[in-house]
Amino acid sequence: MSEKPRVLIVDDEVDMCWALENILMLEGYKTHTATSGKEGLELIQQLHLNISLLFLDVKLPDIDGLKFADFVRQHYPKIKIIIITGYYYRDSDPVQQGLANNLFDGFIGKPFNISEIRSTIETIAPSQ
Amino acid sequence: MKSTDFDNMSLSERKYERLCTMIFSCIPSSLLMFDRNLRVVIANKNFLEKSRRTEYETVGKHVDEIFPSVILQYTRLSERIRTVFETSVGDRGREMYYRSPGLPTRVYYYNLTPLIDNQGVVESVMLIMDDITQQVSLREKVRQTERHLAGVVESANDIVTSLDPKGMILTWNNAAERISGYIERELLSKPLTTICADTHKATLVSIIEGLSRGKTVKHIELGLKTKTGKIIPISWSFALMRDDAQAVVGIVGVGQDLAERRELESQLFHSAKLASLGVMAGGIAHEIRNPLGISSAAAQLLLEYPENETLRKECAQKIYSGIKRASQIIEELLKFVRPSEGRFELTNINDAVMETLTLIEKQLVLMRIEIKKNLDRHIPLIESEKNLLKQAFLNMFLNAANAMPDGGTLTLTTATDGKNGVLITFKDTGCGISSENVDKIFDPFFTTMPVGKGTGLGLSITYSIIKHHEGAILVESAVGKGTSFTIKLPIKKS
Repeated sequence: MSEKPRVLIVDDEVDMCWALENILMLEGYKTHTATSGKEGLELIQQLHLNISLLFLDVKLPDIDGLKFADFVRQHYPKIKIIIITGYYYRDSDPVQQGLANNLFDGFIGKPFNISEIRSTIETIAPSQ
Repeated sequence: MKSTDFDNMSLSERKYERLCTMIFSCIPSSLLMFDRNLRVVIANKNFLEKSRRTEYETVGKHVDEIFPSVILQYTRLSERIRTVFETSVGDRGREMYYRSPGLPTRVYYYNLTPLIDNQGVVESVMLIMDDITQQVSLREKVRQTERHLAGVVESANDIVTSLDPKGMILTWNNAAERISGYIERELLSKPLTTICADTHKATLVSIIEGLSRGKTVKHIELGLKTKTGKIIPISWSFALMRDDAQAVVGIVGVGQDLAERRELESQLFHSAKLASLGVMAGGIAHEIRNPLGISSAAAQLLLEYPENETLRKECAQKIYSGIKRASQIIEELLKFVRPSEGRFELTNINDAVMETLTLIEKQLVLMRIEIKKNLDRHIPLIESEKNLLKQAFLNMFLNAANAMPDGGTLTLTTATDGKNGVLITFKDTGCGISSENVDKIFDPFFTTMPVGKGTGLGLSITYSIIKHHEGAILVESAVGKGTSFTIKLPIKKS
């Protein structure tokens, strides 16, 4: 069986981290969670070579999620970024522009279907 | 006068005649003396000047030749003179409008006086005319001013009433009739307490007593009992009327119908509340979608992995707490949107601040605003419309958030002011307000935010809500350092 990508989940809601972690774990992914931007960056710096997928909430208490995404793009271009938020809807300008300008790779609106998560991952990081 | 008559006169008679002529000529009234044929015997200097006639054109002429026919018609002067000759009774006190050619109209006050000889026969009739043009024009001016004032009083939207020093009603304007249902006639000479709610009668009596001792009263709220028995809140201001000697001659009372104003105010408050919700809409969506997202994900996990015992328990628990949280946010929203009931209740200010904070805390945290709380746990309860206060506080939070787009610290402080009030301070570390804008921040629609971001109503609504609670807002601001708003509220409503 091929190696599943290692995933980092950054969301300030502990329960949201729990939900995403369980969904991905049960799919066979190795997961790490962080509840702030600072914690997330530290984890990336420690594990960056191993992390290939980032689930990122745009509203974080210590940093703007989109700026966070931009930083990751600049310094860790191999990490695929999926924005996951209840703040924007799919058709809103920041989401459409972000996708068009390649600021992130995928978008998932809260609340979501598990199948959406599966298909989004499959589209941007197909299993080898 | 013929020269022979003059020669026959004694010295004293001549002296007397000269004296008369002198008096005639220097008296400030116009004099004409008529004989039985209604011909002029004597006309004094004053008359000749005023009528622009010479003595030659006047003496010996019939009354009909002296005055224009219009005047003769409406004064019936010839007839009146004749009557005086017949009855020996003077005719006094009438007005005559007289206009000499090329001069403005003058008003005269004239008398007809019979001059009676030794046999009791009327020898001649004297017409004395006083120029009262100036008095008449002053009188007209006074009347105009009176009419103007009466117009103002009658068209005013507020109750305007005048009372004698004992508080008896002397006048009662249109607005007073409309609001109270009593017409002026029903209340004349009755005490103002007649229309006062029973619970406020004693207060009104002491106000009127205080007034007569020189105390003025402004914006005191008293219930007015209408003719139909309804109680309407009225904000009264009383002032004393004094005469030139400073003695109190009466009291003027102006009363504003607060029910009318409150109705408008509450409509405004409500629409502003909805507008501020619009500003928060994004934050609220996030607030509710998060617990929904968690519940939904947990439910799907439960469906996909029903046999995993540990996961099942966890999922059920997350679904339950997620739904509870979403419903709590909705509950707070509903409480906030509910129209104010207009009732003052005992309120813990700390609770009001904290309940408002739950609505917006998440949004503030996401804006990297740190909230510091210095709440006085022993703060006394105050009488307030809690829902309105929460609206005012929400505006203060939104205002602070807008002032700190790059994050900062918001310090909330509650304290007693050591007397009869409480203080609530919102201190931010934001951009501050420039000195030229400080005076405008409470104006409706004043905003420095881009269109669509702020309503420009927040602070002006806050101001009206605090005024409604008889409180005050103080602002201290330094550009680049931050702003501190201190709201002062009385513990008891006056």
